[in-house]
Amino acid sequence: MSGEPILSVRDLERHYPITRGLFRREVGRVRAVDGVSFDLERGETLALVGESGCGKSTAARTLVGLEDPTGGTVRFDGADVTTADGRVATDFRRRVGMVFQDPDSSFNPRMPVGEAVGEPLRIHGMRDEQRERAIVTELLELVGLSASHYDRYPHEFSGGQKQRLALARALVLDPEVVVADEPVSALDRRVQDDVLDLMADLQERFDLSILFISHDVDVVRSFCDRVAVMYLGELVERGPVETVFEEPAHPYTRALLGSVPALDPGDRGELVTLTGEVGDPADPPTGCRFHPRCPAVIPPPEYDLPREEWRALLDLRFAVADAADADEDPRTGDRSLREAHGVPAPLSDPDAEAVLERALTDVEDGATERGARRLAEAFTTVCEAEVPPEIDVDDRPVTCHRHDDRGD
Amino acid sequence: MPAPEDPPETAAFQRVDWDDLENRWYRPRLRTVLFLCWLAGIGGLYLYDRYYAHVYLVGEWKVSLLDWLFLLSLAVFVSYVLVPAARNRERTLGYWRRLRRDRPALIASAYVAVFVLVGLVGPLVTGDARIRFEHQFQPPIGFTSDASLVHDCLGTAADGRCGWSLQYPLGTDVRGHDVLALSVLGARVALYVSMITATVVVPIALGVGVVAGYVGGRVDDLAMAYVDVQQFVPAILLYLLFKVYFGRSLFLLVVAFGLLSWGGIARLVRSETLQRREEGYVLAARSAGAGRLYVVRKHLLPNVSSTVVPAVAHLIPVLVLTEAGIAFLGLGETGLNSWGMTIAHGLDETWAAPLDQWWVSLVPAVFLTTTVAAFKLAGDGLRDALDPRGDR
Repeated sequence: MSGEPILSVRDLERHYPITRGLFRREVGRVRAVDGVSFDLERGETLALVGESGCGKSTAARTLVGLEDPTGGTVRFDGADVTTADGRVATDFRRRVGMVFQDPDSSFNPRMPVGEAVGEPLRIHGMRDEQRERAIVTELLELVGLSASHYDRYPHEFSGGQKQRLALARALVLDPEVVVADEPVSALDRRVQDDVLDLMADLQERFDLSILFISHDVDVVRSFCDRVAVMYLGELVERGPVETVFEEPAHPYTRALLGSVPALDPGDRGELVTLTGEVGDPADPPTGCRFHPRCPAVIPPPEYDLPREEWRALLDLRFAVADAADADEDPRTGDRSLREAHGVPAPLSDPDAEAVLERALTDVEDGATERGARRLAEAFTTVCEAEVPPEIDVDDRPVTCHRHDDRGD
Repeated sequence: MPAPEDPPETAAFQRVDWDDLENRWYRPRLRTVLFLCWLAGIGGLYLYDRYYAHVYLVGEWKVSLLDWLFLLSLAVFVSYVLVPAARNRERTLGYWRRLRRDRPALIASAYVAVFVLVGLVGPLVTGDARIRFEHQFQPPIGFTSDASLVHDCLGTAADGRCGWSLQYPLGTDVRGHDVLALSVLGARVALYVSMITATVVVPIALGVGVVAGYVGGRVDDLAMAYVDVQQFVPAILLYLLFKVYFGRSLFLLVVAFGLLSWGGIARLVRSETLQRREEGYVLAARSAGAGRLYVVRKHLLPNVSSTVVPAVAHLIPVLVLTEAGIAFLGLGETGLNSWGMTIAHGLDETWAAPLDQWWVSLVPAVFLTTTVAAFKLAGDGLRDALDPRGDR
């Protein structure tokens, strides 16, 4: 394990244009991956973790070249492979293997699995059928299957067996890096463990570096060395699994950990749950992208409000703003706006209470827009106004205002 | 953990010298070589026929434009269907095993095979249907006809009825044409129609569908918009237009229908391609370095067969029926003994009531119906047989 990372990703971007009309005019962009940087060290297992829809799979596909990056660079073993072609590209493709999430779509239903496992060999120019068969047979045994499986078709295998086959296919070109996109998410817990054990075994035997994409915090905890937490196209926190998971520095990491049902409910003091959905990557929130959902969003210094009250107040503010944009009445049903968003009456800060009172009266009078403006002027947060810089917290990069000098 | 005991020091895949493998110049496959040879052969023959031979190519064979087209489609069929099937015997045996279990499809396929054989070889045996007015209105085996209509009764005549004879097992029509010979000649017409249109339709539909689905974007929009427009132009209208300018000809009919009928299948292929291009096995191949052409050949085309085979098998009978319909209406090529034309002759009341010559229309009608049904059944059976998942 020399010092230089095997795979180094800088500011990787993958935007999809949203087009309209006959001439495909670009009217917007989906920022699926929006400036992601990390290093994969030799021999380690790095997890890319986040909710579904956060762009982690797109990041994986982009860095192996299945999607064209719209920005950033990928360096493999010192060479820039972002837009490489010819020798460098061939080399890169040979030395990086990939495993996909869905075992059922991973194999062509009309191709015997032996042929499928050996396919990369043929793609890389092997014409000797005997040799191909020998290599594949040995690999099948290595992943816990047998030579007799060579001529069978994919539908004859279970999900776990197919993921073993997928591992065999990823290994057949003798790669140094394996990118595994949710390799065990579709499997039962017991089968998951078997496949993970196999991966660990193969990793040790063939000196593999693994980029492990997952939404499952428990799997990451048991299998990976380091972790990068991704939210809405960006990384929010990176570091060794133990420290990140024991002392999460970003509220999103904390929330992600809380959202996993623990077997022993007593083993974590503070349990936060994530509400709402991952934002829209076509129109990401300004500032910190997590601020619309963040339980620890920072209040402005002029008010003295407890965390929950501030969160509720912001939710109310966003709801009124959305309603004003859509030209609707923010009040739904017979519940008051305060009740609907859990804002206590009165607020513990009298100044804030006064502003809120006035804004609610505006809404009451049908002047939703004026109310929204009043709320937006008074209740601001740095999380919404400014993009958080990357800060080192205990030697790990975190992007959250709570850790720069403005927070707390 | 089923790890192997005492594994060797290095695995076989670790001992591959990758640089050694990469002198991969293109090696054409047998089917391509064969197809090109066949193509060159047909080309040479065509030039010989055109500039050297007079009127007849071999014996009394006057090769028409349609015949050349048929030879071409035969070349495609043999090179890209039969040769790969023979080369990959194990897989073909698997198909056969699955087909055998589906009794109706098996019978239908057997019928289609016989139909192809009769269409190919039959006319050589029966020869052209010759006019022999003295033998008009002979009844088929087991039946009698009105003796007053018959000139020379070849069977035993009794009670004003003429009995059957072995010389014309399916009887004769008003001009003394042998109905059996007419049916065989009709089979050739139907075979021409089905083979040629299939070899025009399938490559175009596959090409357009796969390119539209795989490339996507503007190409896709344009291709599908064109298909929409094309589907508004009825092929029969184009044929009637051709007829005005060039006269009646089966060649033009086949061309018109071949060039205008691929839209629906192209659309199917496109949606299938769209669905499959993001599948794990396509991504896996691409991440290993496979090019677009490789992915199309190895992963997309084999998987669209399950939609294309039945779609073509349903299209062919429609075209055969359409040709018969056109011939029945008297708009087909003159002198071509299509089943539709023979049926029309059998229903012509000028010389005898249709019921007094029922076999003239019934026999080709039965062949037509059976052929149409067989194609549909065989197509569905073939689709199931081509799918390895049927092996459970």
